[in-house]
Amino acid sequence: MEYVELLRARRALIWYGAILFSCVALGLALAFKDGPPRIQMSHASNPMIPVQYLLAGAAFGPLILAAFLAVGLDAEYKTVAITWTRPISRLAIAIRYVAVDGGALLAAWVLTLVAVFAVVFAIGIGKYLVIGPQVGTFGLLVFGAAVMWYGLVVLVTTLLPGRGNAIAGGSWGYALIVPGLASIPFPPLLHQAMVALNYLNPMAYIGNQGSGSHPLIIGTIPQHAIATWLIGLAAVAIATQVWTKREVPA
Amino acid sequence: MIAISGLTKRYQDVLAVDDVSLEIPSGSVCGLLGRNGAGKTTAFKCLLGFTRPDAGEIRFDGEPLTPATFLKLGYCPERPQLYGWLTVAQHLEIVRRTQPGYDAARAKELIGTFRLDARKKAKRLSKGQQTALSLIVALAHKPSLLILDEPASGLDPVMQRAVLDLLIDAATAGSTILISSHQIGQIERAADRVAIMRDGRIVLAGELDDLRAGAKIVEATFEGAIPALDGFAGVSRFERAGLTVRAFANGETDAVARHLGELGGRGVRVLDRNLEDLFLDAVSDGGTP
Repeated sequence: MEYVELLRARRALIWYGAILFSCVALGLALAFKDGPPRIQMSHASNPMIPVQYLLAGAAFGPLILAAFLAVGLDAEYKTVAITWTRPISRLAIAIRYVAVDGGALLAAWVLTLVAVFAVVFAIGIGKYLVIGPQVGTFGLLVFGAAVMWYGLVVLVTTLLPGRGNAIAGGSWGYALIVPGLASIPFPPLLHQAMVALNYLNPMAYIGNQGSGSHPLIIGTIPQHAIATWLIGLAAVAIATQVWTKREVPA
Repeated sequence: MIAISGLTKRYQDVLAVDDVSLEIPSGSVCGLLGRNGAGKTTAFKCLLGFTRPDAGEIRFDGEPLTPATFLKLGYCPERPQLYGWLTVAQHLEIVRRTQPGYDAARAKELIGTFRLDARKKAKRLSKGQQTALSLIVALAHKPSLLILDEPASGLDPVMQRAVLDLLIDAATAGSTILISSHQIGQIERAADRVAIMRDGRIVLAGELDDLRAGAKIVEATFEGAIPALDGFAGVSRFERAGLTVRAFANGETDAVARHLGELGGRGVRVLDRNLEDLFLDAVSDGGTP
């Protein structure tokens, strides 16, 4: 059954890649309209662009696709006459689905990174790139955020069958609204609830870096990376178990 | 062989399937009949593991349902469940990748039979073509066990005939088939056994020939008005058509024929019942024949 998810992931990647590289091409065409762009970097006498920024920026690729791909398992709900009549255990079907989606998320990240680096070098600022001390860990964190997002959406869609698209769309609302709510000085109990909800927001783990002395998500970059992966993988594990035990309603 | 024993499924307050027991021997075609809501589809869902029964046991060739069962089992649902965005060929690719017994030549032949365009997306197919594709997905790996929930639904008469021929071919090749349909004539032609469900229970089951032999129709024609038809024993119901009366007798017919003669009936004769008669008797409020 991973064949269906392969086709779904391929379709998503083709659309995503087409839109991404069209935007890149358009942006570069505009930038080069009047000749090579001249970009002034002013960071005292030592201008630099940490690679971490590019990794974080490129994470939007898998983050966008995470919610889209995560509804695939739920969508199988409408085709159980095919999906559940294969000589393959339901757990194996679910694991294969997740594996395909994981590969697709990675591919989306690579695609986005290629696009980002292409732009950086095309406009001549590649020489300012610097690799920070925790670039690997930060890479794990941003991809972990995509895994976490994917896992949470898969989990919620398996718990609420047939509402995949609404949940995927709602996850973006959650990711964008909850950090704002967590920053508002509500009464203590409500504020604590908002802060707690923000711990289930993958974007918060990426955006929280260097956000001052009162970060909404406590911990260091390695701790955040571990947290995103653990939450994502745990959610996926629970979701696959729930999915295998689903029943077709009356 | 498909053996169902004491199958029970309850949805909250509704007893959808109530202590159903049924045995379909290898190579047999069993028609499962019943009015809408009788419990046929729920029984199928339990058989296929789509829902967990509250009680009962289901065995396929002596074994409980496992993923390996689907190596030899094909299922066609009541309403086509297809990937609208995939083509006919991609649906068959799913079967090819998951069923070691996939027969490409057979699949191609079936596509030809139902005149499907392999490049067309499922959502672009007509309802009848979608049903046909569901059937092809169920049959493409040449299963020895077939569960078909109204497989001819939405098909035109020519395609219905093609489905019937497929079933007869599969049965001739030794497949065990459990089929539900509202088209009783089709079941009568293809099935050698029937089970009739009513309110979640099996109210009549057995070999079709035995059931027909056990229940007859006594027909008589009256010259004047039809008299009151009281005092008949062993008659489940009467049918009137003009001056002709048909008495649906269970078992003993001589007494019924004699009684009709005494009331003035002429040309009294005993006829075999068809499956439709058996079905209407079984699902009517009068109860079992």
